[in-house]
Amino acid sequence: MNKPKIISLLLLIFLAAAFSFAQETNSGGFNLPAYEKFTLDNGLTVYLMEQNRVPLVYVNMVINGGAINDEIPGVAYLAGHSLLFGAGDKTKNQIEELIDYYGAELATGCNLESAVVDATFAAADKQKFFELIADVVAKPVFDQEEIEKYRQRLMAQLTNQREAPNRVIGTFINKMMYGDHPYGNPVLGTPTSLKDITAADIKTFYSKYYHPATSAICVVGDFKTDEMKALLAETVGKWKVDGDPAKGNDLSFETKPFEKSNVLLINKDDSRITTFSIASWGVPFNHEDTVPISLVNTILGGRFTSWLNTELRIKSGLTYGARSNFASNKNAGIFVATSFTANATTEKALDLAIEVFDRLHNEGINAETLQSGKNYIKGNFPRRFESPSALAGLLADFYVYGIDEKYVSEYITKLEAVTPEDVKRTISEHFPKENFQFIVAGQGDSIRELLKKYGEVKEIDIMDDEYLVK
Amino acid sequence: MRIFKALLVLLVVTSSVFAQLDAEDIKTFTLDNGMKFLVLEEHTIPNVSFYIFWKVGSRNEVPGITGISHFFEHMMFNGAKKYGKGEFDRVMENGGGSNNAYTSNDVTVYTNWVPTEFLETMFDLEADRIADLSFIDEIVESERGVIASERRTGLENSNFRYLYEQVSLTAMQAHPYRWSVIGYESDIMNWSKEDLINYHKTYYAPNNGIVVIVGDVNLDDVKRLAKEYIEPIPAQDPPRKVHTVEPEQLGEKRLMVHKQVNTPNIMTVYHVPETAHPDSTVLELIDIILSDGRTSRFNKILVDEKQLALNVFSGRDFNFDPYLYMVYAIAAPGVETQVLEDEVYTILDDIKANGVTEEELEKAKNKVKMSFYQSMTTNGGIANTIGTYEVFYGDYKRLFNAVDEYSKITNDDIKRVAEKYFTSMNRTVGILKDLKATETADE
Repeated sequence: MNKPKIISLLLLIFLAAAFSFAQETNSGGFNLPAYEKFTLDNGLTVYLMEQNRVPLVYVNMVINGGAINDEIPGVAYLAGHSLLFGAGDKTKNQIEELIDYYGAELATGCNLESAVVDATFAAADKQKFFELIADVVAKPVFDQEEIEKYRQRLMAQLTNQREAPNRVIGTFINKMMYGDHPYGNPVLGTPTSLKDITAADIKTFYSKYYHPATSAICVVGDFKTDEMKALLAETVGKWKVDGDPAKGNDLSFETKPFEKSNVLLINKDDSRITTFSIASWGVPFNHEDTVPISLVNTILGGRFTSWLNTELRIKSGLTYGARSNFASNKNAGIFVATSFTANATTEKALDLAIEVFDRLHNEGINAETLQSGKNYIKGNFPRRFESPSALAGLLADFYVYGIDEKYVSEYITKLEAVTPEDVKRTISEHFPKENFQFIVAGQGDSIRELLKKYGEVKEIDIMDDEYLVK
Repeated sequence: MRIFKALLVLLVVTSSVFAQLDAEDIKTFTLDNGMKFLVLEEHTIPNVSFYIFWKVGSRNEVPGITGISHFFEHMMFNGAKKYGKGEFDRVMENGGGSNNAYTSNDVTVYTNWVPTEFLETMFDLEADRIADLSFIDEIVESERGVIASERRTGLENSNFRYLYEQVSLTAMQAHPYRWSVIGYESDIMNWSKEDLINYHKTYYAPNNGIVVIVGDVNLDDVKRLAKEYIEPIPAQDPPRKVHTVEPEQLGEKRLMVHKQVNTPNIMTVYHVPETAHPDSTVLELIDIILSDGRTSRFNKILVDEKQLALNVFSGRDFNFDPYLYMVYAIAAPGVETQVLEDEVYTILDDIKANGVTEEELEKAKNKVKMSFYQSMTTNGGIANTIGTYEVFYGDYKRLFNAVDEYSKITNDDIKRVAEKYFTSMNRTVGILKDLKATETADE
């Protein structure tokens, strides 16, 4: 090339910044594909990210209609799920036929913090699917008969779910830890709480909370940004709601350290295994210590060679797996270590787990292990953001938690900068040493007595609904 | 790079299902010892999916060593010559990689995801455990405990697994497909070291495996490393063929399974041919029409309209030999299992007599296309899909013709296949319910 070197270099830097291709391995920094964020006239926030590995479009829409705003557990979920039971001029059946005919996927519901619309469809079909999404979100009919039918089905499914402790223990953990705080709400409700929910309750919830100003639509896939902007403006951009959205339940949270160990025993008569979790307070999403916490947690229970898995599975063969993680919501979070074992080895497994926590505090983590943890996170990092659906979910997290791509692009730099002092402090401040909260599901007759040594025991039955809605 | 990719899109969009990925993008070579490699250079992320498909699964077992194939899925991580006990995972995770594995009735697949710069070490690790796996007594014993744990939790937390194990055992009388992949508990506790050593030598021979590498690699580097690390490993005699043929079922079989469940589950299975058989492609389309999506026959009629079931699932796995097509339904409260069962047959009979609608056929073909695309959004997804096709159809290129093949299927094909396999003589029915509650009620 004849151009002066300096100008070419500047051009290259400019291009790199503009297109932020996720191929850089220079400093170990990882960059997401480029995306645009803007707001439509109706207040709806939009995130657009082109990614044309396959000719599909992935949509993740989040609305401030999560279970945190429930008065009666299950209303938020039913409201979200029922959006597809007829919308605009389409009946439930017509909506379903449309989705299936084009081989697409479209699901609606909610999690704790948001109501969610998830869709995947061929790039060639984007016009009709954005029209559908716009109708579903803005003009749901809330067919009473369909809601009633689904409510019955959901109640039965939730009852059946109690047959598998590992599928429901999470709901009990949240309730035990958060108590009356909205973060303790059972997202799907319970068979009891669902019983009396009416279509009117659902419509009220929808009217209160579903508003473009507190919603975002994240689109990742095979499209051209300019074309997509226009398409969104003419479809979901037309969703108008008079007035302001309701504020929702008070989510303020003040961590009250536990003053003693407690045990929640969830009895299941015919259980041959004990499923257990050891919990304590964690941190809110994007806490300033997120990166060192993640590093320590990886070593403690976040990978196959973690300390917990090494002790409980690899060395002693007591379980198929033991892990730990920080489950974080916007204002608060919990730390949970989880595993399971045969009835007869319950005590052994619990003691081993506690020994591992002791080791973390008493011995700390040596330099070699720390480096291994850093290497592990860094090497696996790009895979977290490979698929378009993962990327769409990430953009939704940006909106819900008020963060941006720096969360990703600065992560590895922050990780590499974690010092042994940071680690010591992180362990001391964020990882439990005592006053553990145990949530144990298993055969009461086999384990009731031995659990007493771990703390004050409260026993309920696995079919107990009251506990989840108190 | 970006401009070139855009041109590529324009060139192939009309001629191929995959605008972005073509059969020609995948390169292959075979080493002197018989190990075949499929390689796709893909530079979206600085990571490589390195999968090995071993043609060994529970179908290669005999009574006494059931579950041994799955056991190897564990043992392959427990130490070899160069990398001792625990080193495989330690070295991988320290190198920024992670891994997993799965065992089926037919294959054992080791899935590795590693950063670009780890490729050579990946070859070294794999070569070590293929050639020189260790069998240390105390490790074997410990792993028995882990597997017993895995079996226990699977059965306790999954009604489906619990019922399927019994139904498979009943439907299949002769063929090794009959026992579950995880094996019988008594066999798990009793395999000997000799069993393990012989099994490893036979089935983990380079001529019995296929390597699929998708990601940030260079073909020449892969070839060079394969020749250096893998080619020295000697081939072995081909494993003995599984020559047992399941005899024709002579009449409907039925079984009851007790479990403390809130609502009964039913499972009906039909004998169907191997994956590579032409009827299997038609069956795949029928399966989509039956249970893929809210407007599929089972979901629409059993779950939505008649509210007889809370959930319905159906399908069959990739198999080398004839095995089973399964329909599984969880009854809604208060529903008699016979009523639910009869409705399943009414739906199947309708297809036998009348086939399906034009719309259903189109719908199913669209779904086939969409799920191919969805399986290609990650390096790992691509590796798994092309590896599976190579193993079960003998040719990964078939994946790229698959949509065309499905598009040729007619309503007559559907009727013919439905009539052939969905017969009462060909079915085995399992009912999972709380039999003790019934017993008490009868007293």
